[in-house]
Amino acid sequence: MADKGGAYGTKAADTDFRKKWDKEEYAERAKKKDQEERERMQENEERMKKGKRPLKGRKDDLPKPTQLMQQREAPLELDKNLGKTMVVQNPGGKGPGQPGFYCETCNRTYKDSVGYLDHINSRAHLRALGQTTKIERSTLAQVQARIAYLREKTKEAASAKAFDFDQRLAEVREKEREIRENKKAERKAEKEKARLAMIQDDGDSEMAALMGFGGFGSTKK
Amino acid sequence: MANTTVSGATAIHGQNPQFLVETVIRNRIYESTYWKEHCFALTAESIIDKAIEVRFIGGVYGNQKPTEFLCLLLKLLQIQPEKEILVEYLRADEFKYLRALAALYIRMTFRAVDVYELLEPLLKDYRKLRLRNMSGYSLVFMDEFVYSLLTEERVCDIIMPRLAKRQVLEENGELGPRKSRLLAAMQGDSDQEDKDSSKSRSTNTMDVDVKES
Repeated sequence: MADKGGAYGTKAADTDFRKKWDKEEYAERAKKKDQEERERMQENEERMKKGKRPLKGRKDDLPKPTQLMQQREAPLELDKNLGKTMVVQNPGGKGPGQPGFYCETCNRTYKDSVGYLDHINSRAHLRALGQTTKIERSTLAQVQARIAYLREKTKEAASAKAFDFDQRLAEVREKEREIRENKKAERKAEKEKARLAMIQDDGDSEMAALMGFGGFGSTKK
Repeated sequence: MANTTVSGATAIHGQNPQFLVETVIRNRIYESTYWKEHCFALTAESIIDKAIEVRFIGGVYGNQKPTEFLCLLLKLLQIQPEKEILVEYLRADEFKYLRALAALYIRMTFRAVDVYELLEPLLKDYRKLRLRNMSGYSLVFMDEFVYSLLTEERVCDIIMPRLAKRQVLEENGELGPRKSRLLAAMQGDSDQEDKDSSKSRSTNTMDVDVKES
């Protein structure tokens, strides 16, 4: 078509929302990738000449691992967001804010808990954390200390529970007593009121009888 | 990695200790969420915390799901703690599930003489244990569990390694004769019996003793 218009002479303005590709940037990226690949191939060529195996992918140069494999300190809370509806904050991009489990250290998102668990137990993740895949061997003394500590703790918990129970029982008793007393006082007050009213009534009628008439003819008081 | 046996572990019964749990169940354990989430990087020290949180023993249940107890057993096989540590687990008598776990591990990995020496004292532990298997929960007692460890071929869906007979070990002179607590009780009773002459009680003990031997 000559003027690139639609059948009714309109421009296609309703497709403006489509992403405009920054061609220069992507050309730059492609060039960089090619360059890296080229360097890797050259390196592999040299390795082959020396009789070594070629490297498969590029390697991140991480520092040497400094500590042994550690237990995770905080619970993972895999079911933290279970049953929640959440807004995806970062549609169509890498990084956090995607649906799924996100690993901050490795900047990766996993769609399910199994994949995520496999990742955080993996060598690559441990390496990024600076840990080896070896665990610490605990000694007899450590084990004894731990058992002693746990023994104390369970004992404390048991005694605390018993104490709580007694205290609670006392509290409940106290509350019941208070309610009962309140009720008693209320009833007493009511009785007193009724008695007073009766006395007043009695006094009036007695006086009226003495004077020889039933009232002053007015109901106003 | 998370599932490999610790380096420098000694072979038990001529193989990798983890292979004492059959392949099918082992792979189910490796796939289970409890293993991946809670058993990661446990040491002989931190496994105690997990073991005292266990609520039931058993092999697999429901849809062939491994119990937490079994996961911890595989972890013990994997990290292979020293013998003294296992004895320490046994001696912590207020944590019965830790004790059950240690008893099973000892039965699977120790020499026959040690197994008899360490496990027979547990026969006087009468506490209840919850057992969960394919047909649901049931109740066993610690002495019952230990007795099944010493006599049965299959406990908690794991095939027990062969254990030399006690009689053979006694004949070789590696093991002293078994001290029956009932015998001692009976002798103690017979002394008292002269005084109070309670017949029914003595017949009771006799019955139990016959079953026991």
